[in-house]
Amino acid sequence: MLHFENVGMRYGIGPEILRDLNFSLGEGSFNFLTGPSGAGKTTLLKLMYLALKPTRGLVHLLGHDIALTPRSELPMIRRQIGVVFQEFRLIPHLSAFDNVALPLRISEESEDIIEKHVKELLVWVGLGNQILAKPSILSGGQQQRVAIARAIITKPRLLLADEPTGNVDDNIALRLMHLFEELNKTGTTVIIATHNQKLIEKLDHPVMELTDGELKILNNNLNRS
Amino acid sequence: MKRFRRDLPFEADQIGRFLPWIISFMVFLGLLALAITLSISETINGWNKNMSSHITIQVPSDKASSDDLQKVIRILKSTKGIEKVQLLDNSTKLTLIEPWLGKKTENLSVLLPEVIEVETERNKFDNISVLKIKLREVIPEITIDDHREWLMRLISTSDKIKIISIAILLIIGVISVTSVMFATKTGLAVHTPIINLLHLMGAKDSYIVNQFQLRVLYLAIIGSFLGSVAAIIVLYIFKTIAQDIELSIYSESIVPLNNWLVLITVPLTAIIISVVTTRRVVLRTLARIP
Repeated sequence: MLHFENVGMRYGIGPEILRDLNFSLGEGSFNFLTGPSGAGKTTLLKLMYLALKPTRGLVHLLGHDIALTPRSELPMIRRQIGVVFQEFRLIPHLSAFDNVALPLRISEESEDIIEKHVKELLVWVGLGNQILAKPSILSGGQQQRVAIARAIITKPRLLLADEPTGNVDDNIALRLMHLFEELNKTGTTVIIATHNQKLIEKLDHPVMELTDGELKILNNNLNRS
Repeated sequence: MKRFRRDLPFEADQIGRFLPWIISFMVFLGLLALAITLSISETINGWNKNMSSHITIQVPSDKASSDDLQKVIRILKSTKGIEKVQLLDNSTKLTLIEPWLGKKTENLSVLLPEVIEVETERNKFDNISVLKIKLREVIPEITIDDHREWLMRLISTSDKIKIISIAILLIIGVISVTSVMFATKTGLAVHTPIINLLHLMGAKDSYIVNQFQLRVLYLAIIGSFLGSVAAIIVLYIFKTIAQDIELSIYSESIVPLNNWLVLITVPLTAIIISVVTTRRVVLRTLARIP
C-alpha cells in the first residue's frame, strides 16, 4: 500500500525536513502519526498525498513507484486518496453538498449517484439539515465534518487526516476517530496526524513518531524496512 | 445531461469586468481597420476593371488637320493589343463636359479638342511608350492619358494601406493575446488555492482548463458582440456620410455579402485567440504542479 525507502525531503536549499524515512504500511492498517510541531508531519503527509515529491529516496504508493509514474497517471492515484486538511480547505462559494460532491464530480460520476451518496453521507455525519449551507455559516466542527465527508465520499483506499481533532472537544474527537475506524473496517488504510496523546492512548493503533525529521515506530505492526 | 461545472469562484476576480471591454475594443479597431481597407481595395479594384483597358487621346482642334487625325487613328488601329478606337463626335464630347458646364452648351465658343477613346485588350497592351513616340511624330501636341499610370499609383497606395492594415491587425492580435494571457495569469493566481485543491483531489488538467476556457469563451463572446455592434454602428455612420458627400473611395463596397463574411472573421478570430491563449497559459501553469 505505502512504502518509503530512504526518503529525504528539503525545501529549496534549506536543511532536510525529513531524513532517511524507511517504513511500509499494509493495506487496511490504521496508524497515528505524531510528533512535536515542526517535526515534519505535514510534509510527510504531503509526500503521501502527492502534493510534494521527495528530494531523495523512493515512494511506492498504491502499487506505483511515484518517481516513475507519468504525470498524466497521477490524478488516478490521487483519486484513491482522501485527505482531511488541518485547515479544512472547503471551497467558500460552494454549499456543503457541492463541497462533498467535488471528488465525485472530478471522477465524472453521474449526478444521480452524486445526489444519493452525498446526501446519505451528510446525514451520516450529522449535517442532513445543512446540505445547502455555505462553509461561512457553518461552525468549525460542522466545517470539519464537511471536510471529512469530502475526504471519504469516494471510499478512498488511503485516508490521510492532518490534525482532524484540532478544533473539537474530546468527545467529538473520539466520535470522529470511531468514524475513521468504521471506514478502516471497510478496508481503507488510515493515517491520522495528531498531537492528541489522550486520543492515541485511548485507541490501540500503531504510532509513528516524527522527531527532528526522523521517524520512530513506537508500538505497531508496521513493517520497518 | 452533464452540467456545466464551475468550481472556481470567477466572480471573485476582476477578469470578468475588464476582459470583455478589452476584447470589444480590439474587435472594434480590427473591424474598422479591415472594413476601411476592404472598402478602398474594392473601390480601386472596380476602377482597375473599368479603366485599366482604356486610353484617352486628346488633340487640340487647331493643332491637327483631319488627315493627321486619320493617320493617328490608322496607327492606333494597326497597333497590336488595341481592340477598339473611337473618335468621339461633338454631342458625346458635350455630354462629357455637361457636369461642369450644364446643358446649355450649344453656343459654346470654346473649341473642344478632338477626343479618341481607345480600348485595349486587358493585359496584352504594354507598349504605350512606343505608341506615344509614334503619335507625337504625327501630332507633337497630342495628349495621351493612359489611365493605367495613375491607377498603378493608386493600386500601389492601396497595397501600402493594406500592409499598414495588416500590421494594425497584427498589433491588435498581439495586444489581445497579451491581455488574455495577463487576465488568465491573474485568474490563476487568484484561484491558486482552489486549483491546488482540485489537483490534489485528482482533477486532471483538462478539468481545470475547461472551466477557464468556458469562462473566457463566454467573456470573449460578450466582448466580440459589443465590439462588432459598435463597429457596425460606426461603419454605418461612415457610409451615410460618404453617400451624402458622394465620396467614392468609401463606397457601397462594404455592404456586399463577401465582405461581411471577411469582417465576421475578426470577432471569430478574437474568440478563438482568447480561448486558445487561455488554454495554453493554464496548461503551461498546471504543468508546473507535480
